[in-house]
Amino acid sequence: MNRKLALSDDILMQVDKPARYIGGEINSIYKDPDEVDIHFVMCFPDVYEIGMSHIGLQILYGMFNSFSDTRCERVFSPWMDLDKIMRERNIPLFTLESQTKVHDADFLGITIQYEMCYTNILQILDLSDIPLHAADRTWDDPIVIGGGPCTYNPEPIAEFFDIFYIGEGETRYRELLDLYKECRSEGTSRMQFLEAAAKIGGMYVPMLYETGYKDDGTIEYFKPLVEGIPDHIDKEIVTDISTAYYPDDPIVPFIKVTQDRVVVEIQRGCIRGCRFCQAGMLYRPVRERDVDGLKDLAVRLLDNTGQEEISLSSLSSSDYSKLEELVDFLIEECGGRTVNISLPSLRIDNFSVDAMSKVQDVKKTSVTFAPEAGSQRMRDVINKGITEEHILKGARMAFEAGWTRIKLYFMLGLPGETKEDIEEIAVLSDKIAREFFDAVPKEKRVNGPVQIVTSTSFFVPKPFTAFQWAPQDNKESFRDKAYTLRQAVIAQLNQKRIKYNWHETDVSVLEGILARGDRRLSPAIELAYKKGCLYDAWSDTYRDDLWMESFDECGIDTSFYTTRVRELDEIFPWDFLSCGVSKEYLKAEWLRSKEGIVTPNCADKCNGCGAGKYGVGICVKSR
Amino acid sequence: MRIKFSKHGPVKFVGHLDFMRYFQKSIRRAKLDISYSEGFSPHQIMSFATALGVGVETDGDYLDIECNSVTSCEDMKERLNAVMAEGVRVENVVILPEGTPNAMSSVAAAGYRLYLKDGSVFTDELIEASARVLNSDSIIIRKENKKAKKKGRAVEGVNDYIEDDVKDRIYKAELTSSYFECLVDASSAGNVRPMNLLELIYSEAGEEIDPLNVQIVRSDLYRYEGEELVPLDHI
Repeated sequence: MNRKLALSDDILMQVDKPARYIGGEINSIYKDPDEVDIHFVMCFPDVYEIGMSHIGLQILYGMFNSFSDTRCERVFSPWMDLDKIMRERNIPLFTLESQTKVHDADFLGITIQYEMCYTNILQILDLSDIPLHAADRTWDDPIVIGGGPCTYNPEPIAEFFDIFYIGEGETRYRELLDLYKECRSEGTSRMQFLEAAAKIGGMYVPMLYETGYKDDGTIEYFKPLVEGIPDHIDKEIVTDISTAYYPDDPIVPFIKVTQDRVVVEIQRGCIRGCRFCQAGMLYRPVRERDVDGLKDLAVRLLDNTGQEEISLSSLSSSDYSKLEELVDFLIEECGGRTVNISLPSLRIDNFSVDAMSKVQDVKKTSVTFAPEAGSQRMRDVINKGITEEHILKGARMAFEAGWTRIKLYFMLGLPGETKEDIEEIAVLSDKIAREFFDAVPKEKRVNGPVQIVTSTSFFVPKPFTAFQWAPQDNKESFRDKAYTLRQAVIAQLNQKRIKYNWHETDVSVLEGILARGDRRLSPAIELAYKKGCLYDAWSDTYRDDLWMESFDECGIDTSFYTTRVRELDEIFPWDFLSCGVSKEYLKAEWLRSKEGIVTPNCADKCNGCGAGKYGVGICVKSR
Repeated sequence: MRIKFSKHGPVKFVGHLDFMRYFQKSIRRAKLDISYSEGFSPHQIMSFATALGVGVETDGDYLDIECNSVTSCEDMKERLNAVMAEGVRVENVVILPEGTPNAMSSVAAAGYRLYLKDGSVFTDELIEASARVLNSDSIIIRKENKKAKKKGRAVEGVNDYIEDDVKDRIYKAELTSSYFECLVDASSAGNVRPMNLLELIYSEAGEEIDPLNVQIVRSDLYRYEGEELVPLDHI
């Protein structure tokens, strides 16, 4: 097959990493357009290397292509250099596989994993010649459908999408595509199709709903504009995760991507209930994949890709009940193939230290802990069920196994945080350093002294968490806190062994605005894009000045979304959606957090969060 | 084992380092019994004869691999081709006798074929100019003196450019209306770039060259067998 590229050689020779735009990778699928009915284009709105690291994209790509009547292709955001050329020369955005116009597709599916990609979404629409506003589109334009965690508060970008798919993508697409085929063959209007789509489970069609505001700016009502569509949309959830579609032949990129390995999703959801964590709530309840199926999958993945590293993916892998069995299997299988194993998201305990020392070079790698808060008081507030004893014991095990590098992750700006809590981060880091000198006698310190890297990010309250009522800290406060911590680190005995890194403040504030935003933010997002904001997730290209200018010109007071204290009975922009966990439960958790009361995890006790209504996973297991 | 491969089409934009990693994965997919180095992060024992620039196609480039066991050359070639990406093909697989110097150190010369991407032809003026250039006693390529420039010691008109007489390192060269073909030195010390020669010809004819419109295709890589130049897989 001789594919003709959309970009001429002279353009490809000028841009950075031209292989981003050529397609043709191993396991990429090219179907004859004449042999299928539906053309679906899957998009990750960031550059190729980021998008191709996302397992969700590979799952949906494989799933759509497994439908005999559908062909699915990919598109990613052109990098800044190509973006400029495409605008100058009027080159329409194209898919990787067939190198044809995105505009000609039936569906454009965009996965929305983080708020900082919103301007990139507009770039994709703009370069594809798709009207930015859903209301302006015709049957000439693809149906623009969004999925992923940000759909749990889609309101700031609701204007730009025809449909949002709330929840896990494996369940309802077949129904949607069948409806589409029916409607197209019967000649129904685009709006009629969308109205029918709104009746399918998990589908939110923003154009068919209206929001009203009170004088104080909070939401007064949210209601459907047509009859027969739900006023409340529950998420879609895969009930039998072991049999759900999972690709055993993911695409193998030519160039180095961020996650350059095959990924095995071992379970979905999490039992822990940390109060700041949105993912933990959205994907409840935890559902484990059958271990024998995983072993088989791992082998097929390696056979079909030839990748040199395999990774187990889940929110908290230590909680997977058959982890030991699976890891032992992998160590043996991969040993024979000279394949590396990556085990992220592990609690540091006997098993994990033993496993990690088998698969990693203790001299070259580091062990990561995420205490998130420095003091036990704060850890109880956020319900991170890990004690100082756990942490020090784990660190000691790691040191005894030969590691000298420890990475620690914390957050600043958590609700109720005091100066002492912040200083405790430094004290804890120091205690870990001291543990090294205690655990490892001088003659055994062959890999040099301990090196601790303490990193902090700034807390952003998210929808569907207990902290959705919490005010976010402001920029100045973030900076003060980072400074306080820096001083506290310098004051420690082992301060030479501790390196402190902190996250950008500006972008955390923007994330805070968008995360709990409403429809009134759309004009500002569009304006920021038109002013040239793009790749906001990248520190080199993030333009805080243009963003703040845009909010200002649109008459938006951003503190309404960030630092304002929410009343307990306030209606949130996302209240019409459900992730399973009830608002009442989250409210109770918010109040408990203020008392520092710990809530046990799902494996220890059912706390009646509401996700039990799906009747799956841990909710139906006997404890 | 010495593997000869070709690379055409969109995949020419995959750079050398990425292409090496692509081949490593292909070898795993083909389940060849390749040897790995010792130590904690073992890598495949593989070396390429030379790098291929981004945008350059090849009919014949080579890599050597060391195997623990082999089946047959035909079988290995088939298994690799079953897992190749669009545009890459394994052309030949040969077993190297013990003690054969590796591909990189063997490379002595390279054949090239250049043509215009937009389908246009090389003009008569260019062909006449090429005869003048290629038949003269010396063929001077002017190269930027990067070393001096780096050290800040480049004096304009004096040492900012180095003049290199490549006459003796061009073994064959001919410009026709469709192609510029040549066989030139490709050793690390004496490497001649075909684009430089074409630029010289254009300059002699007083015509403007658009390098982005020229497709370079390497036709083969050669080593010395005695006094004779033979392809690298000629064992």
